[in-house]
Amino acid sequence: MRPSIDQKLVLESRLDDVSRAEEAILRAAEGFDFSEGALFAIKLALEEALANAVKHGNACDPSKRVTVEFDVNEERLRVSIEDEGPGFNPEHVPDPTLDENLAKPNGRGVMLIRAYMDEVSFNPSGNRVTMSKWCRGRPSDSESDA
Amino acid sequence: MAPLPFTINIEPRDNGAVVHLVGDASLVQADFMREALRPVREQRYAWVVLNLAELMFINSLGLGVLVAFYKGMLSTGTPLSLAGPTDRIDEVLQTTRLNDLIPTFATVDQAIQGG
Repeated sequence: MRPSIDQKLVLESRLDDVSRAEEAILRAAEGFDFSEGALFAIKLALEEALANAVKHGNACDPSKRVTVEFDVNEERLRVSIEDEGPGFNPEHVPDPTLDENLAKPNGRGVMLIRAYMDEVSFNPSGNRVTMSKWCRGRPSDSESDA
Repeated sequence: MAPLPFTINIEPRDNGAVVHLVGDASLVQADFMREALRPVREQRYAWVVLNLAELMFINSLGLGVLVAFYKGMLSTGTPLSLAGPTDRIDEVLQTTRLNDLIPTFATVDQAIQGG
């Protein structure tokens, strides 16, 4: 059994800085049995959450930090991304797939995170997202398939 | 899984252009993508097809650039379509329903005929 990996990274509010965290997390996940599709999903969700933290949460303020904690083992990857902004209510984000929102250039990040990760939750103040991807699908999915 | 280099190549064809998006349109590439597409709009082609056959990754920032580009082309009366997305990119387009906004075809030739 491969040893699990867990790490905490504190990053500046710059896209190139948080990109390094993304690469570190993907490198860690690649050491386990995630499929190519799962790695694509993790990469997409990470980019959405990191971009939200830098651009919306911290408003690119260089004095603010983005804290990324992740742990990965043979069953699943879990990542938390927290910014120092005021937070937001994810339930108030308009559905970008409604006809009236399709032509808007923004507003797809949270929807993509939810679509591509197995579990997604936000803290009450809305400045931290925690998301998980299971290596072989969610346990409840396997049970229902059986 | 280091990101692949991202490039945009413009191929004038007849009175239009096929624009090849290649590699990973990752977090730090949105500004480059916006700037690289600007001359396509300024050139006033009769039609434009974005060839996504070698686009391996795109996030919502990149999708936002595509939407803004589409609206810009629409405002000048230039038909824009997408062609050849890989299965993963096609899934992203379907998940976001952008394939309902921007005409999407399996191949560049079909896009040219359909556009």
